[in-house]
Amino acid sequence: MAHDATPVPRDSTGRIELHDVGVTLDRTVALDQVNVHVAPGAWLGIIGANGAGKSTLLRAVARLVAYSGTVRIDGRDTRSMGRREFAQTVAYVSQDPQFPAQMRAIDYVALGRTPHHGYFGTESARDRDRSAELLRDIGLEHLSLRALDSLSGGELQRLVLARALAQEAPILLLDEATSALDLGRRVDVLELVDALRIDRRLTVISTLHDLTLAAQFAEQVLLLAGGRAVAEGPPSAVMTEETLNRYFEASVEILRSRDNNIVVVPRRREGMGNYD
Amino acid sequence: MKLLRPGLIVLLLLTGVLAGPGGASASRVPHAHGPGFPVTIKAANGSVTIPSRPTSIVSLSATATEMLYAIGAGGQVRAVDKYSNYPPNAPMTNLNGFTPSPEAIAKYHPDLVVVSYDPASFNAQMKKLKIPVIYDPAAPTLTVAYHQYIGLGEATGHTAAAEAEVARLKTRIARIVKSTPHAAPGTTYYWELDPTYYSVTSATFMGQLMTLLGLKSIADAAGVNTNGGYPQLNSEFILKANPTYIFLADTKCCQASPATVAARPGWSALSAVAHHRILALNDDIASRWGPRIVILLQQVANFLKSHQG
Amino acid sequence: MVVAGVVLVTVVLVSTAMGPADLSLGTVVGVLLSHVPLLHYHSSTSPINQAIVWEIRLPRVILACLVGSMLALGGASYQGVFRNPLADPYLLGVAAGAGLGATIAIVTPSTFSELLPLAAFAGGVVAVTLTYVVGSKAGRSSSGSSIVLAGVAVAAIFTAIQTNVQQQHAADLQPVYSWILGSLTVATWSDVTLILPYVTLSAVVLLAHRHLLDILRVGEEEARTLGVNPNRVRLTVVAAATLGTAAAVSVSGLIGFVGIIVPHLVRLTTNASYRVVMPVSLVSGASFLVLADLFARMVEAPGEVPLGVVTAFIGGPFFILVLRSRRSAQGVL
Repeated sequence: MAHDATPVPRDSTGRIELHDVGVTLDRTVALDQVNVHVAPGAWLGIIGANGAGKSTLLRAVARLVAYSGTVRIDGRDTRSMGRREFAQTVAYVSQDPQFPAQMRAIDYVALGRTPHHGYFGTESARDRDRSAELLRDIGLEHLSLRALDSLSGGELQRLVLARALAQEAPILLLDEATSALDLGRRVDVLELVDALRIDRRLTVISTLHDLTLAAQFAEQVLLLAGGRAVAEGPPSAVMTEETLNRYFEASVEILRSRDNNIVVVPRRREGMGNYD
Repeated sequence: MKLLRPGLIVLLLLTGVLAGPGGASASRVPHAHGPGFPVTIKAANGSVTIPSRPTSIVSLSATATEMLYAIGAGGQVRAVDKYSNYPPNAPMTNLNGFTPSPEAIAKYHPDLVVVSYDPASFNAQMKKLKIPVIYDPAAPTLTVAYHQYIGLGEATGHTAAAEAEVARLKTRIARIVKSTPHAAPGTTYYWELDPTYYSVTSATFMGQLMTLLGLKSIADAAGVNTNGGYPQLNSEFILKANPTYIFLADTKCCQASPATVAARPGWSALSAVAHHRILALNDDIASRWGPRIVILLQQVANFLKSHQG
Repeated sequence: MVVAGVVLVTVVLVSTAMGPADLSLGTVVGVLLSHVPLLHYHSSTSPINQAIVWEIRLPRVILACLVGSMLALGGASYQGVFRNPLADPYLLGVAAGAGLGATIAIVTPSTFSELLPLAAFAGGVVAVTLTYVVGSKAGRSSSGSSIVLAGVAVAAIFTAIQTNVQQQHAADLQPVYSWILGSLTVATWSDVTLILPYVTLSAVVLLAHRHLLDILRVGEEEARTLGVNPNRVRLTVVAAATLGTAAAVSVSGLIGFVGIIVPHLVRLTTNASYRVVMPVSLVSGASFLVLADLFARMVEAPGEVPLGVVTAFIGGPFFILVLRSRRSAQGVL
């Protein structure tokens, strides 16, 4: 594996453009001609019903599934990037990361440094320092030598984030990074992502199940339905009662919180119960 | 499966240890079916009754084949197993004495089967086919070997010839022993069964033959009955024991020779190597307890004489 | 690592000093010193004693080191690649394949001693490839029990063919079984030099992959997003481990359980990272087999106990313990 001794493209700013991206899985179209642009440092939330293609879209961007069309990062087709160069550009957090029971927290985070050393290399002192710094940034410094199976769900979720950040990639893809967490932990992690995004000028694309949280954290949302992009724009424009009712086959009510955030309230089907 | 090598399996299976009492003696019942038949003899599998003089014998034992021909019963032998390579005119077949197939044997319509290995259900199956089986496992002593001769003689109608053959063997052995100067005390030998240093102790059949010539096995140090008398020796022990003689019983199976022994790392320091006291034996002769033991004994005796003079 | 190194040095020294020939420590040291270049030390002991130490005992100890470290490192690698705690060269059919290759080489009338390791290697490669193909077709991924099941099946087939070939060539039964039994009874320096290049190459490649094996532990996709091609890593590691174990097995015969016991003990006493498990297994595997072989030649001295029997005697109960503690079996991989 001799390729890519090239350093991270430092001038990379993290602009992502998807042109007619389509994915076919098991001969069914999972994603159909999706076009979307994400500005550097922005947070794009992908929303949609189950099976709408949210995860597939992220996986296409992460080059984990074969896709048609093009994905460009700062104008470059990602297909032209080497394996390691791509890993230095895009970090990905999967829906259900695996945690080897006896691996230590610090070693787990250090795995994220892999794209920065050679094929046969192991981490340098600098890699160790970076991993320790990240543990401190996510507030888990005190757990650095603990085995993964002794950590809580929230701690693990933050650890995955640290591992992804260790790649020092300008783009962070989060696939339902918070679904396993309770309400408080969920907000904690999203706040952390947001702080890091601003601090490191990361471009974030995340799938989000919780529409209320999506509306609060994402600057831009993309609504998928049946593999197609059906609406895109600021949350207030996309998340209307009419759109959500239609594409989620639900009955929702949009409220505004005291600080004028969108609150999506799912309601029972009409005529199925009334507690007035 | 990986605990035993077949050479060893063969030895263990053939030794009386696994086989129970060996030997044979007959009690004749006067009746028709030819002179002296039916006859009941005692073999390692108990009393065996042969109703009439057999004319279609199947021998699955290389030693028994040699014995049958030695007592003049060769003409009654119909088939022998793939290891019965002596005498050369024996009707060798593809039968395997170590995985005997009753059906394959029945093909030859035998009226007597001789085996040296007796797997669990073989005897019972042959009983169902009403074919008498004589089980003569490896003889632990000369006496047992002589008993097997007599038993085969009675079972085949050659009692007198068998008795004569035993007498001949006894005389030949006594003559060889007498004509060979008894080896000096402390004269030792290493008997090689295979190139991984399996050997024989003085308690084995071959060990007893060597004892007749005044030789002592270095393997006795491992305990004469270890592994049925066939222990695997450690190579540094062999060097340390520095045997007077080396006898190679693995020349056919494994191409051992005085030259290959001398070429083994470290073995050139052995006095047996330095003084060319290595004798290459015929594996077959050196592993059977039949008529050719006198050839073996004579070969060893001549070798000793040539080195003592 | 330091501890494991100290243990190995001690074990090698003790093992070289002890043997059925019962030589004094001074004699052994004298002979060893006489072979140190530039020292010009001359040992005054008899040629036989010199031969015992230098031609018999030392190559046997060194060969035990090489074979033991290769089997342990190979076992750790297989477990990492297949992410299965029971994966070892024995269970995945490499040994059975190598056995068939060796048998064919022995029964084929030619210069068998030179061809034997190559034939054993070829057999091992064919067997593990078959296991891998069958296992990954049967199961969804290349991990898990489908691989082990495939390995059992492939091993059974190869063993059956081997038994059949053996039966056809009864005259060669003895050398074939000698090989299968597994022992270091006839170890010489030429065995050492024969396998040293293969074992070294294999060990270098495997150790270089220790970090990548850690990445495989967090999953296939994660590995890919970290810029690693998991299939290439697996292929390289399996090829290297097969090369090394086939080479080791070609001179030692089939010695079981080393590849399971040693890496597991190492995992239980360290933090289970392959960066640590691989080198420590390498060193500890050597210690383990040298000790087992010392046992094999001393317990019934001057008789020999087959080395495969000694390792199985320790390995059997250990295997049961591993199965009983599922947590340690699954969690650490």
